Amino acid sequence: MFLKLIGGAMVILSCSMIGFIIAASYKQRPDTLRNLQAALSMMESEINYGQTPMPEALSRVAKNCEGEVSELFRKTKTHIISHSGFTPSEGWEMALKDFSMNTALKQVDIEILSAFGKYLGSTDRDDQIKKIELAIAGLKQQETIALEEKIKNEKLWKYLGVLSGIMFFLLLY
Amino acid sequence: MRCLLVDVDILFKIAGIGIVVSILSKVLDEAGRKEQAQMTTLVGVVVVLMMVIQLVAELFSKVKTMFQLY
Repeated sequence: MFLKLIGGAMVILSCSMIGFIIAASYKQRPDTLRNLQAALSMMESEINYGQTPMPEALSRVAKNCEGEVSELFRKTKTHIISHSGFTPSEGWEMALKDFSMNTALKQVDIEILSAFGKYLGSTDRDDQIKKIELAIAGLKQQETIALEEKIKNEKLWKYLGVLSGIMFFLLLY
Repeated sequence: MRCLLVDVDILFKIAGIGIVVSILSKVLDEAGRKEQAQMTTLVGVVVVLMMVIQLVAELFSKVKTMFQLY
């Protein structure tokens, strides 16, 4: 009898947690997009007004950000200054691959970042600024979409998780 | 002292599923996914129907043995 209750509690708990985790990923996407926009505009100021060289600009931006966005910039810098001869574009691409593994961003967002990375460090200053602004605009658009999705989906998945847990418990009791 | 010969657990199960399905249907409807709300209602009805059919089959067999019909 007791064992049944404990098993049932475990079923309900695990299903609720699955629902919560899915809801959390919907919550995290707009936040990450916003942080990325801030980081890119910081990079823009560094390039435009500070005239800092690429690795130092990357590490400054990384210091002012937090979490996975900071990791992205730091890894890019590591790849660039390592003596393996990677171009900034390749370094960004590799860091982006690691970044996209553990993030709540969708394929669309990663593509925006990847398209931006192709021109990284290969064109002159004004062109870099333009590319950065293009990326920021793309991310802002995605952020609006992501916010809408979040409002629709976050509560839904929380409820779905808990209710399906209760349903399984009732069916298997 | 049990007056009911019926297994009360099944009644609670059916009531519980009914409540859960109605809440789920309402939540999905609020979130705009009407087809999925209707789908879950349908699934809930089918599940409860299967449970009830088992009980009805049991009832029929008991009636048959009671009246010794063929």
